[in-house]
Amino acid sequence: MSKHQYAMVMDLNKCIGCQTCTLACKKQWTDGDGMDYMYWNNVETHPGAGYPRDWHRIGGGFDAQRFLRPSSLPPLEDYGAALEYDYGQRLYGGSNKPVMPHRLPDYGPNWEEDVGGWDTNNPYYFYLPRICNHCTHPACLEACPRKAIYKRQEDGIVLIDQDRCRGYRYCIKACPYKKIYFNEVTGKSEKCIFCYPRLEKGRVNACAAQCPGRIRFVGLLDDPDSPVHKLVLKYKVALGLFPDKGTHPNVYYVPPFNPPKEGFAGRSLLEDPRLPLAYLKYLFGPKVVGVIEFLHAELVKVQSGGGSEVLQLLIGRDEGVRYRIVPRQVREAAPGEVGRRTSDAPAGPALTLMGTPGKAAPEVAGHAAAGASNCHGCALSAHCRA
Amino acid sequence: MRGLALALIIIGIVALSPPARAVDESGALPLPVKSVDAATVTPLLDPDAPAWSDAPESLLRFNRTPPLYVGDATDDGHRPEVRMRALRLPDGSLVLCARWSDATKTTSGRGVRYPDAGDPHIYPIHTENTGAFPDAFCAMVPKRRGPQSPYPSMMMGEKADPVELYYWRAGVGLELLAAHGRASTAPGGTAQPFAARYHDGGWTLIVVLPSLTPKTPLCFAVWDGERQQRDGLKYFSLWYEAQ
Ligand code: SF4
Ligand code: SF4
Repeated sequence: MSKHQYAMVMDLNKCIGCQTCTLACKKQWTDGDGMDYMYWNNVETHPGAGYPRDWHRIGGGFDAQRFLRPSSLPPLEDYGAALEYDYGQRLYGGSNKPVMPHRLPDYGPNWEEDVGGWDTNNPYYFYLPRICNHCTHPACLEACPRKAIYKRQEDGIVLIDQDRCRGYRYCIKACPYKKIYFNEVTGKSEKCIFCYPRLEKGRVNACAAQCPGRIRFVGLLDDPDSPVHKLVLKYKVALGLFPDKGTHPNVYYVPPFNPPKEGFAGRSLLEDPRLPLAYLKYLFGPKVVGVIEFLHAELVKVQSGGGSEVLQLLIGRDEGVRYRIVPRQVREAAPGEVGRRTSDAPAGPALTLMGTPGKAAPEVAGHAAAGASNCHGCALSAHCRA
Repeated sequence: MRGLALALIIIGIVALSPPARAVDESGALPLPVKSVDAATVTPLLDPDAPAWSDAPESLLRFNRTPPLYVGDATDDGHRPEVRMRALRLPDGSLVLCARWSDATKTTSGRGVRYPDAGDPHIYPIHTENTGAFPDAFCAMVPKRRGPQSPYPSMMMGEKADPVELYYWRAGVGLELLAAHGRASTAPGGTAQPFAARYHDGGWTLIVVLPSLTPKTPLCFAVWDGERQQRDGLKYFSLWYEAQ
């Protein structure tokens, strides 16, 4: 257990599967040698096999007695080899042959994009963005015989000491989310670092900063003013992925609760489930039903002229609402005031203004106005138009 | 009365126990060594060099570690056949020529850079294999050379008695590591000359151990990459003593 814990909430109702986060991360952290096939942030269509293929079916995590249950080691084919083109042909003339990838692809990190599931007359899918969950009980850490993996006391971020790692890959087998990758060039394992160098400068994670869907919320779970504290602990509308794997993930998801399969906007997934509830329960555990019910009730409340702090928060109007980054120096200097806004945090309205009943109407209008040019039809767009 | 009986039993045990040194010595296996007066090691890196032809060969005794983690493969009874020859140079170095059976050559890649007619520097090297572990060999010697009793712990030495590891991996090369207990390995200095070759269903590896004075204990480990062996999952020998 760390003293503090950074967490991320992703609102799956708003993800448009654009992969901007994936590329932001790739460009920032994984464009080096041996990292070609790695996506510390990936976005996969569900239901689906995901990346690496079948990661959620092959094992990992702890059993009920808290014994590690390692999976097999995914081969490169299950991640999908990165493709390289002979760009020289294209740029410098070359032959008359078309520019082809160096090998024929047969799987990839987004191989099943928009395939999803199907029942009678009802195709369905949603996007699931994934990073390392910086778990409270990291199976990767427990599995490492070299003690190369550690969880930072000051913010709960899980890192691999590259000097200690010897590439044994027990961590990859143990992680139920398959969020550690082997770099053949360095002979070591690598993973998402939750952008700690950015956080330490008061900047939010690259994936969150670039997300046009504004689906990501970042802050300290133990900071009562942080959006993640509110979504996870106060309103309890965000759930970890595969809670039964026993690692206690710190990336949380607001489950898809809209739109309905048919009928008028605003009917909940429970009334008219486009996505089979069984699949959501498979991913997020049985609590997902209560979350959907709660969110639906909030939606009904707002549609009848009331206010809802949680829906306001989920709109995530600007960075000041979505992120609350408290660099280590600030926490260390004033441990009693962990929630204090830092001078270099992104500008935005004070969190305490958000979601108060009296402020609800103008802020909803603000969302529509601010987002009119780039509205992507998130779960709240019907409400915005209303 | 009971106290007296206990004291007598303890005295009896102490009196009947062999000294610690004798126990260690009885566990030591001899490793015959041929002395050569080669001025440099380079010609000896060829296993077909004349100096090796009449070097005494020992068939080493190997065992397998038990599974360490849930899901690890249990012992399938297989053991590599490991034959060792050793030459001692005038400067005290020991040159080992290990030959062990391994039906499958498994090497660790270092990635591949795909050719491009344009700027070769814009593409990163690709990882080509995420699941392979290389065949490997290690010779462990105490940092403190010469005869000793007791020997350092087989679990990578101990704080008071650190060890050196001459650790070779197929496709990677030879590393010199230092250790003072389990999971304590760290870079240990400049790598020594070595030569490795896979042929006829096995590996031949020549490594040089500097200042290995007579009676210094040494032990060995072999990893079979095909069996996903790495770390503590390996075949290992007990201590030998270079003669
Ligand atoms: S998601 Fe996997 S890699 Fe990340 S902390 Fe949890 S167990 Fe470790
Ligand atoms: S950038 Fe945002 S909206 Fe786009 S795929 Fe990533 S999480 Fe989804």
